[in-house]
Amino acid sequence: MELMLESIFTPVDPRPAFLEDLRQNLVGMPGTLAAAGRSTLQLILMIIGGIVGLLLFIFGGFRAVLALITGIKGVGGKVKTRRQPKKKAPSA
Amino acid sequence: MSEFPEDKALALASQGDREAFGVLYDEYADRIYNYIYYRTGNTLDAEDLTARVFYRAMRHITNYTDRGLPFSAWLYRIAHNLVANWHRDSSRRKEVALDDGYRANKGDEHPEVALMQSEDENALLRLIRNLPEERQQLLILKFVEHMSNAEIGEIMDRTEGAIKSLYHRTLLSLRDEIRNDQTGQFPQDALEALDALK
Repeated sequence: MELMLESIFTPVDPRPAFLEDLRQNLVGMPGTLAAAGRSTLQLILMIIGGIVGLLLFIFGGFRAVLALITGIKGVGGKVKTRRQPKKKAPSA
Repeated sequence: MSEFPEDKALALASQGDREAFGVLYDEYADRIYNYIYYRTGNTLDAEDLTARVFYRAMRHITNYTDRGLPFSAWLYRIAHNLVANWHRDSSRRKEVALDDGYRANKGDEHPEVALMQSEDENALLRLIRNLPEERQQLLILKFVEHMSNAEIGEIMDRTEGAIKSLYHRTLLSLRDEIRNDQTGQFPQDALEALDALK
């Protein structure tokens, strides 16, 4: 009896296309670990970008303030107060 | 399972890692398909139910807790439940012959010999399909999946001894069914072979 059962219960091969399609549907989207790795990279890049942006902003701001100060100084230096022409004393 | 072991794949898959689930899929897809194929008797339903098993497993694997039950047993239980639902569907209860060319040519036999063997096998499969569900499940797990009684017990939630006893009763029952087969579908030479095995 067992021999007969052995003979009829031979393993069957599923269609390769079916297996592949199902696998694609199940696993097609990237794994969470890969996604996590990518999001970590994105996070690191965002942080680096943020720091660089902040430094540029501070530098730009500092430069602007400095330019403003020096500009005021420069403007102030260039501004010459016009002296009022001395009125000639009426000659006697 | 060459990339990493099952327990690691299972742990990652439980955390929602689809690639790890893919490793488990690669390991068990053929086996689950075979199990369902022999329970349903046709490739279309076998493919449909196999897909459902893995979709369901993927949905619930985050809740899977390792209580000493092998992952395979968990998968087979899902498959068993889905097949049971499939059988309950009255519209599908009509008997369906094993239909494909997958079984047709096992070797290079002469077509006539192959046809006779196929008739023998189909007659026996019809009898098996009339057995109670648990006995069908037992035979498939034993002869298709080549599982031990202990492994089958884990899937069917029974002790090894109970499986052994059920198996023995199933063989006796099947033998009686073959002898009492009144349809004449079962070939005489097979009956003689059965008597010779006695």
